[in-house]
Amino acid sequence: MRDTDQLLPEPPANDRPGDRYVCTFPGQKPPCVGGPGRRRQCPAAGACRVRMSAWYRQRLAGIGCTMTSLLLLTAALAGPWRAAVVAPGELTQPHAQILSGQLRSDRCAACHPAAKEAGFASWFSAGQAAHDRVRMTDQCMDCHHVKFGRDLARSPHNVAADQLRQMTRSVRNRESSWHDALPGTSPDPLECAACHREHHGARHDLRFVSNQQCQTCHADRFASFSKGHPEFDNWPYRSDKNPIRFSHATHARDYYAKRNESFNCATCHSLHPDGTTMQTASFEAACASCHAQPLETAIDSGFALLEFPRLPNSLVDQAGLDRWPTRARGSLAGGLSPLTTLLLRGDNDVAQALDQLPVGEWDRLGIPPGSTARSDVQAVAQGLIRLVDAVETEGQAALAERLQHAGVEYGTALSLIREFPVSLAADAISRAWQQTDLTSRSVLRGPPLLRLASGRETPDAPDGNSLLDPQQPDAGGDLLLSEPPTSALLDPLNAPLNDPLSDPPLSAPGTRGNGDDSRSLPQSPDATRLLPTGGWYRDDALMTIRYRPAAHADTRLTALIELALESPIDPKTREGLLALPAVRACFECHQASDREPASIAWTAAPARGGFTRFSHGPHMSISQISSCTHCHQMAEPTAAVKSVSDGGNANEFAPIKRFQCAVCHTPEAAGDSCTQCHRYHATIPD
Amino acid sequence: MLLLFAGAWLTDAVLAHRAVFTGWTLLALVLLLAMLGVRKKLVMWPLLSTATWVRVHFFSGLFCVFAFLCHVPAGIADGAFEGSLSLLFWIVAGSGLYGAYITRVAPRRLRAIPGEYRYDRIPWHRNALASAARELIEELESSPDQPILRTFYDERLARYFAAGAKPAFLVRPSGSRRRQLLAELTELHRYFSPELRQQCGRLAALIRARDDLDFHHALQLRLRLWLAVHGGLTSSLVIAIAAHVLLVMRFKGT
Repeated sequence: MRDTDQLLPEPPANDRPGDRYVCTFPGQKPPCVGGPGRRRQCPAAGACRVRMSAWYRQRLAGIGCTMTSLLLLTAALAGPWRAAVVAPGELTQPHAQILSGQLRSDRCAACHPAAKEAGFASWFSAGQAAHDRVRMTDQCMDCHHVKFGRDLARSPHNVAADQLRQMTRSVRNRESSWHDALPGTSPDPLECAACHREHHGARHDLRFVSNQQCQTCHADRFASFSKGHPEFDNWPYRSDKNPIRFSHATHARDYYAKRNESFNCATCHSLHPDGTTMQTASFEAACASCHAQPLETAIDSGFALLEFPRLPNSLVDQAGLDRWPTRARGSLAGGLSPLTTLLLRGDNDVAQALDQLPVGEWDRLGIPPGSTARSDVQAVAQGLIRLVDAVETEGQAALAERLQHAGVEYGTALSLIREFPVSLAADAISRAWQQTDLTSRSVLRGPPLLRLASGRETPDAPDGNSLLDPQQPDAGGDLLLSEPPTSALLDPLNAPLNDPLSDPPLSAPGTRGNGDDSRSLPQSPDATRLLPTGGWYRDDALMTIRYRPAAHADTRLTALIELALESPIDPKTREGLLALPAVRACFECHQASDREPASIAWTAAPARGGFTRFSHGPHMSISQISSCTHCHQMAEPTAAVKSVSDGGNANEFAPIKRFQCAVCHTPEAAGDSCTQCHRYHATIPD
Repeated sequence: MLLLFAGAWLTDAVLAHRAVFTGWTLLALVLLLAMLGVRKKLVMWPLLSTATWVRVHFFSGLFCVFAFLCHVPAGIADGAFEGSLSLLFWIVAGSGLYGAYITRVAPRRLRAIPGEYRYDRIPWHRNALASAARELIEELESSPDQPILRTFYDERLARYFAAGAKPAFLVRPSGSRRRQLLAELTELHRYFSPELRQQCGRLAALIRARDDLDFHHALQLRLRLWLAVHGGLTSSLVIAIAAHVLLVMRFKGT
């Protein structure tokens, strides 16, 4: 201390720590001992002013802060603006614009079940039994169920667990790395919010999933696309049978080479308007120049919708079939076409009989009087007449009903019988086929009949409905129609009718001989010339109502094939349908799937869905890799590859290897994130 | 901190909400930090010394900042409520860091200044100094040079001794005012007799004492204000955090 320093007095000691108020008496000896009381009262009233202590002021400030906070919080959460206050950030634009029309509180409730309650306290209470089991994923699926079903929403990749397990097992034998030891998660069930987090601003990409997130659930993990990613497994070629049996190698090396034409990919393949896949040109554009004519020839025979077998007179009379066509009387011959069998199966009275009868021709069927086979044939004949009557009275609906009854899908049935002329069959059995062709002049006037059959004098029949229109005058037809059946027809001793050996050994093709080999028998009409655009017609020679397909992709022929493959019909009928020449012609190029039940895809559309996606557009815009053969190289001509033209499953093209993609798909260049090429929400084709 | 990062990474690895993990960590840290205030009140508890608690409080606070950045990488969360909560956190954390500084610097500076003044008694000391100065001037009435001194006192020192410290001085205390007054007093020495000069030394001592008192006032006020802000806003922060936790647990995506 310096000598000039002043010794200052000590302050009075009438205050203690924790006092709310302090005394301001300026002197050293205040009039009171303990200082001001807790309630600011000064013991020596008026002697000094009382002042709040610093400690008390600090304490009051703390209490004030607390109360203010509570008040502000209550005001924020209690008012109608609470949803806006507590919202933890903007919604992404797609969600925001969808919910833009709703009240603020309703907007929250669209995804947050707890916000459905109106009261302030309810936001924090647990007593919302109605929403206990509602999880946010369920709310998401209210809108997103269109993409994938609710039942698979929580399954990884939206694929059933056992299916995924099987897939995993099949690809498990890959190299292991230290990444496999990283922690992961049991992915089932997996909520939407595990990867999709909202309230990160309008421009936040909800769909973004990091590589790490992808690998969390995977059994095999790796560092990056170029380091450790599994090698491609026969990608991008399909593992199932290609719907179209087409051999690129054969066409390139043989057919096009012989014609001195270049085998250009762009001739048949072009970029789909969606910019991602390549589409194949139509048959007309790509194949018709070589295949149209042969195809037309192959399918010319078409198929028979109705077929009338030839039955013995005694059987017909015994069954009381007055309307049975005359032309269909004689020794037992013919049978039922597969479609006729199918239609008759729709008749309960006939179905049982059909099971007993052989498929195809009945020429060798023994039907002695009293036999069950005879009664079965009678039942079938009666059923045929009933069928024709039903068609005459009810129209196409009768046919559709019969087909449906036999197990055919309604749409397929309609496609099959479209534009079928309902009077064609009735007119056939009532008039055209009632003409006798024995010793009558009608038989002698075979040529006119032939002329009629050949259609040289046929009136216009652009739709093929009434090619042999009984209304049309024919040069000898009226004689055929007007003359009563000859006695020869009724003469049981007239062997030619009942004696199969009387059939001319060299009867003309497409005819059913009736013993008069010296007569001109009906010929099948030249449907190719007469029905160039296809249509229904009557074949008097074969006693059938037939359809001639128009050209490639004829809708009735395709309906028939779909019916044969996909409908639950009896195997014998199916076999019969698939054996038809017109059907076999289609299977020269088209293939049914290997799966059960069988189905057929008419076009070779690229497989969509699955775990992998690829867009051709961006790749084809780069000149260095725009050529198809840059990626799609023909495989070595092994035996398996060569079998493709015979319907084999092998790929003609060598699988694309990972390194081909990894050249460009690096983090610095084209990018290598998982979601660039893979989709999480996969649709696995059956 | 490594554990926090590891935990956050592990949370991501199992597709859980990283923010939930870091949030719970943050809550635990904030509660631990708030325990210091409780510990100070519960003096009977033999749970380590207050100094140890303060040390724990300091390092926990630092860790809390990193935990918050893990919880809210952007620093300030989106949304009105959560954004306000973030701001509140940063104010409390910032005041805490300032407190870590001021609680080390201020006592050292205060110990360097002679005198020990309790904050509540600073006005009394101010009065005492003013009275002492007044008495000294009156005591020197008989000196022939006293009118000069008296004039100087009336013009420069009376207000200095009577009034409290100026806000500018409280915000940034400096010795410039003291030096100014002492220089002016020294300037007057040529007019003073040797006896008066010695008495002026006592006046100078009072001037110095008053400056020291103001310095104490400034630093102690700074400490107290800091404590009021830090402590007061901590309670607001805890209340807001409680509301945040309730809302998150109620509405977080599941």
